[in-house]
Amino acid sequence: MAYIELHTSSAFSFLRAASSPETLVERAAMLGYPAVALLDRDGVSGAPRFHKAALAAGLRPLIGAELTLVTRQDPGPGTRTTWSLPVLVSSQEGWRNLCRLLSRMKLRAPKGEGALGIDELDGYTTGLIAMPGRTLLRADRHGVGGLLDRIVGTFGRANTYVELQRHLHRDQEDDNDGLVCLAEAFRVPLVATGGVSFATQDERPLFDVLTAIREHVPLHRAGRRLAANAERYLKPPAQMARLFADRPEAIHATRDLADRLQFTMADLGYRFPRYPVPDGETEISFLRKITEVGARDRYRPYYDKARAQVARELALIEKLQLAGYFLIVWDIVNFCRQQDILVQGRGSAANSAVCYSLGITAVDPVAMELLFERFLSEERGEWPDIDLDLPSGDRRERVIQHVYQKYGQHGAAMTANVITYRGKSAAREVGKALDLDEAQVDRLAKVMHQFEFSDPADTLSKKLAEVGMAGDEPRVRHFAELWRQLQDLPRHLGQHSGGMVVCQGDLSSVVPLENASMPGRVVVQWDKEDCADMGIIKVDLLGLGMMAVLQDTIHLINSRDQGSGIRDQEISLASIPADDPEVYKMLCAADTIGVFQVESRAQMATLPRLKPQKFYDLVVEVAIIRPGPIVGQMVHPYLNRRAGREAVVYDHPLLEPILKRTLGVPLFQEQLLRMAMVVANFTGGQAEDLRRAMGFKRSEQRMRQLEGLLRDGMAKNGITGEAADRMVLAITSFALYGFPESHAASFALLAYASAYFKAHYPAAFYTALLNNQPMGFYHPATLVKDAQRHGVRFNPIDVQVSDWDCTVDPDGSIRLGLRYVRGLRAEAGQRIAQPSLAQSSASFGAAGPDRCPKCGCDDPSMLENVTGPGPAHRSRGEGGARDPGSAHKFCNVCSHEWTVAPPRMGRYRSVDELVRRTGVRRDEMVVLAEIGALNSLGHNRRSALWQVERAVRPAGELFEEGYPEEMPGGRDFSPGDRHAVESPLPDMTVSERLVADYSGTGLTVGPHPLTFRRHELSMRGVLPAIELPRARAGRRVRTAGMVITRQRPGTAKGFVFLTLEDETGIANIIVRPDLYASDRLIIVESSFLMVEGVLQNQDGVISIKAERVSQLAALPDSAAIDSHDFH
Amino acid sequence: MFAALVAPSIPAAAIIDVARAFTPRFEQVGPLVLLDAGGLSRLFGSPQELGTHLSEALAKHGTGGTAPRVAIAATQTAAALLALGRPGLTVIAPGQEAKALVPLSISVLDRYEKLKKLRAGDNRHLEILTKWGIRTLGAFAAVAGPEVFERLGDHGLQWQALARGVDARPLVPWVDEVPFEAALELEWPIEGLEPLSFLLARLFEPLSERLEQADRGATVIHTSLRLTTKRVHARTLPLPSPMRDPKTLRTLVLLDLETHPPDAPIDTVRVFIEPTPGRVTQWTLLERAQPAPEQVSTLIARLGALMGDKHVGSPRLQDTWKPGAFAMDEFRVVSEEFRVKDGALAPEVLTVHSGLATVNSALRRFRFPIPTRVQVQEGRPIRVATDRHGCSSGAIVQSAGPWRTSGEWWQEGRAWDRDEWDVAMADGTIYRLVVERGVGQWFLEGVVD
Repeated sequence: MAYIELHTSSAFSFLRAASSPETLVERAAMLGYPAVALLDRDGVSGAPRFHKAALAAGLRPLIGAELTLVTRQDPGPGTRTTWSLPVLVSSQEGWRNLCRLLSRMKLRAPKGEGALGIDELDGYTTGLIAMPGRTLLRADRHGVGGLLDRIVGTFGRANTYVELQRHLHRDQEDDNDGLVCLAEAFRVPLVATGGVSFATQDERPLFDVLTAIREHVPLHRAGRRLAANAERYLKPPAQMARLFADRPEAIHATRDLADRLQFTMADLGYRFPRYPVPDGETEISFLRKITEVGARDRYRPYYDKARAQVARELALIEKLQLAGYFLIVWDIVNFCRQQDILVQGRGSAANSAVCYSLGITAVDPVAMELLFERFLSEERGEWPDIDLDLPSGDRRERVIQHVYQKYGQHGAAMTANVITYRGKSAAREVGKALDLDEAQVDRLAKVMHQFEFSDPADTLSKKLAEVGMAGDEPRVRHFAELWRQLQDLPRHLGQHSGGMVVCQGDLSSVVPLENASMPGRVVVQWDKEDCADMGIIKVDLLGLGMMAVLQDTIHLINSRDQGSGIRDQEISLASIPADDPEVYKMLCAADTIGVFQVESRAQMATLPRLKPQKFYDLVVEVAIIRPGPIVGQMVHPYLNRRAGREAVVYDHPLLEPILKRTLGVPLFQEQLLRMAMVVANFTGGQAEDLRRAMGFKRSEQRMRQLEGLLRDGMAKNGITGEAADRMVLAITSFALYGFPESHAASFALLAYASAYFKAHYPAAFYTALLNNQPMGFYHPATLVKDAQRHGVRFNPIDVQVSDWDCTVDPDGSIRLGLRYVRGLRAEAGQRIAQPSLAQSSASFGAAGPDRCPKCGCDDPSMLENVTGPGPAHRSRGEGGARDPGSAHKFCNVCSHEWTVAPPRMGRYRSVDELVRRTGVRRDEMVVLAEIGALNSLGHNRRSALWQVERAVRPAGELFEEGYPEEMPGGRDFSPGDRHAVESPLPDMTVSERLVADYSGTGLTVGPHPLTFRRHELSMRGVLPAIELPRARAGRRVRTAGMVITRQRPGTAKGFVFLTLEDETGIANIIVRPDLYASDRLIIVESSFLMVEGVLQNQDGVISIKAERVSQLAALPDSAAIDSHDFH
Repeated sequence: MFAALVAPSIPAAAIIDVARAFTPRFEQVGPLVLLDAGGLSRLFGSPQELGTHLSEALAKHGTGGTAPRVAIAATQTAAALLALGRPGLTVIAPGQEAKALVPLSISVLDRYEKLKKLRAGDNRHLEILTKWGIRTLGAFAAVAGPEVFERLGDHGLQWQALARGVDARPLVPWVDEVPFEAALELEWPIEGLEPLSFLLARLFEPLSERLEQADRGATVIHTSLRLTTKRVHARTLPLPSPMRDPKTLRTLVLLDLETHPPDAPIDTVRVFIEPTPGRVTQWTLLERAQPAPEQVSTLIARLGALMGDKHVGSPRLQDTWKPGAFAMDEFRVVSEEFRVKDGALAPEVLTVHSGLATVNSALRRFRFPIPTRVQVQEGRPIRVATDRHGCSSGAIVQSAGPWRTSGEWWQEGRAWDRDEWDVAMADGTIYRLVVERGVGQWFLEGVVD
């Protein structure tokens, strides 16, 4: 058969076509096409998947794109008309040109838009073949035939074909007659195409729905914007030949043209950047040298096992020619170090001793016996994957921008993230298109969401019946079918969270680039999987809140000056002592609020049972509370074995070396790989394939194949029956959700560091935590209360001293930052705290009571002021002459002399000055006044409010002039405080202050709301959280508190877990499903709860199994936080 | 002296009845009714006695629930605030208003103002006063006026005046609005619409007169006929434009009843008119004179009665690929409607492909497609046979097609999927043939002129 389809569009044309590239390929293969071309609109996002699928199906993939062109390059208003020109790629040069054209189009336009002028094609058409069609007739500005003349001039006569399509439209047939005449006139060959928008006619409804979504109208109002018929499907070659029976030359031209298209995506010309090595060195020799230096530094002593591992890795790196890649990553890590940005490699890179030696990762894979094959395998033939964790926010952005600068705007880009339609989004869009009412769409979205994750045997109609919808109703039936079809279709290109691609030379000639939504970001049109498939290497630069916290903590500790001239020794992550007993004591007590990875309710319930005593225990702790081990029922066996309640046994003697460290229970992905290798004779690459197959939904078939291989392999080793089933369950359950050991180890390091700082430098740690919210598991209010229970003192927000961020005051207490003022704009807050504006000469308050920093003596008679030049009587420190410009005091008790800090200078003298100099809005000033941030201007909260209302409302000169005379008492006002009259308003009560704190900052540094009710609660037999561990297990108890978390995990069979906080600590509550059902509103909506139930104590984990739940009345809900709910 | 009544458990109409029984000078402010009690002492005694009378009168209408609140004070504002803020009967001696208001919650002031709709736009005074810790009217009244002005502006001062019980404006007395309703109870039942015509004339004439006096026009006519079967035959007739000509109103109702006649003799006739304020219209010299709305409405109603409601109006082509699809819009006298815009109402032009030449011609569509027998060879029609007189049968000498359209797959019963063929017969006639795909039934849809 002569016909080859040269014009299909996939769903990567984003709402302009309905089939995935794989579906198109599958259909083409079924119809017997030897080759097929994919031309998506303004992009090649679907090309890698199309290429891969076509090769797998034995088809020759042909690539091209539909370019949106504009008739005028500088269109005036209302004159911009666009048309699309299909082009096919015939050579590698053509591919480069297409990528450049698409990049040019996309990089200068907002996301999702863009068009090229026809003049811009000049010079970029080599290797491209144009197939102009009906649009030639509508190009009015170029006159009859003018546009074709232009295209022929640009592409060359040999590279231009006039495209004919037949979709059984009258108008189209008219146009085809015109096109034939044009082609004859310009001696350009005709080519027939299908103009395919969907693989089969069954997908036409979905195509219509996508059109409706694109046009933002429901189907019934879409009119002629919808397809006129279902003819844009991929037709069999014979049918196409019949359709164009009157134009056989157009059919034959398809094969001739296809034969000319010799481009293949197998080699896109991508080259990883070369690292500039010193003269006389090659990349690998240089890598060897710096690895050697690094290894000697890291391994002390550099023992044989480590040396052998490094040598083995370097040999493989050399063999796979990956030295440049390691050097580039090393370079990025070096940049971070130079810029004082904390960085740590994670993921499988932590399995590499070379990465450890180069300082890319912080975990010693040799000591931890980590599996190198998980990182790099000759068999897999893939690029390694190095993920770098960076502090989230500005610092990560600096690193990303550094990469952009280093490799040029067209030399580096982020990988895309293909956003696909999933349960809820698909339900909403289909619902809107079918014009279902909003409530119905919401209900359906909910059902579909559940359906997505439910048992496949569960029928859709049953699910619909559960929410009272008839599955046999036509519209609901349409909805269900369309929803199913829309699943996983691409919706738009997003930006991957951290994957960066760099290229030697021009990346935009390898893959089209386009702007991301975020300013200053450029993304490639492929996601990370596609990049990997096309041999393009990425480096993940991931933002991690805890990295920012750790860095800020270290900075705060190192920059802290106690005011006594004694500076603490500088600290760094590397200088943290290993196996600090305080840290493990804290972990065993589950005192882990704010600690990385082990602060969740489930982690806190496990810690006292696991009782970590060394670093590896922490690695296990990080990995064990994951869906994989939980679903795979590994948690209890491990804990029981650890506690000695259960014997350590192995399903097979071969597994003992692999599972020995985890007491016979597989907990890590590496163990899964090794198990597969040992018991089923898998190679390293096969085992990794098994993990990957289980990681992706679309590879279910592959997973079954591999599971079959696994069972066959086990059978050969004599493992069958229950033991085989258990192993398969273990492998399949946490292959998907389990942690790799290296990853857990990297995280455990951060967990250890955060726990260390919490234990030893709580003020700095909590300050950093508060400055990096939102992150972690708990609300800032909970963090503040936890810090207070650890002896950290807090100072309230004060416009005279607070910075935008929270700070540590000289006395070691935390000063809340202006960032916690709700509704205060960041720029306004920074203006308040801006040093250049803080030049007011106003002073406020004293520097605090006189007290000797050495002996603590505060008896005024023993402390004397010392002035004038002369030798200092310092008992410690530098000694030498006294600074005559400073005030000094001398303690007669211990003979210590110290410099007295000058009186603190305020930034503003009055509310008026604050408003005038900072331009803070009224609503912002009101909040500042309410929370007491203006108190240091000589007010209480109410009088500050009183002043604010006047200060933000200029009364006018005339009124101001007459004001003092009108005041009762005729007091005299100086210009600075003429308005500082006494407020007639009553002071705030304690509870009003509490409410104001919570509503204005979301937290309070004052007493916990429960403090005010404690007496009454005690009378009612309500135990504070701190007393619960002392109560006998099994006893019925009452407790009460503010709800800080509500959880209803999918794995908990309907049980709900609450965490209540009172002034003494937190209490864990377990709510049975029936109690939750009967008291749902109280449990979900009350901010304060009283719970009555049976106390449980399991290995020191205290919880109350609730029997009665009631709202704690008379506590204003506004004096509470929004709990973190996880349903 | 003013009295204020608040009774949430009593219908508003009943409270107004109570107020009307005491004085014609009263004003309704939402659920609150204010009475000008000046001069009532000679009829009802002292303010205390007047209050008692009012309370008793309200209590008669009570159905339980919240007890009625009555307050009497020298200013309407004070009376209103006291009635909103205090239970039972409150009588304040003249000059004691401000003192009496002191303990009332500041929220009463907000509520009263909302009822009176005194505010223009967003107002945050209640929020500000709450933040200030001012909980009572007394606390607010005590703040110095200039300071209030400085912080809350002019409106703040107005608020403070209210808090002190000062009236912002005089009472606006209630004026009764009589409904435009009339009814006739018949001694003998009537049957048929002809006698009803006379009755309707008797009802509409005085109503139209009242409409004219009140400068109103009818927008909707509700007609309810109580039948001898004890059922009520009710019709609602919306009018295309406000009108009050009794003859037209009568004709329209009669025409409507012709289309939807009662099924039994009529006992009682009742009509109720929903009025709308009259409009002043200025005719222009530059446009063609248009028929009066009354005439057009009558004509449309007559046509509707004759053809059925859905078959009268202005045709509008629909935005769809479905051939010949149109919808009927309500007929309106707008000259622009008759113009052909963008070819939307232009006759359909057919292009017939005949190999070398194309012929442009107009398609004359049959009112109902004619079922036809068609012989097909290799997917193309080659012979047509029809029994319809005047339509030619025989071999097809030339054909173009198929032109395929399909759509509305989401609408049960409205989906279509069909092929069209343009065929030339031996006698030179050109037909449009249509086949419903899936069913296989052929039709002659039209002929080319």
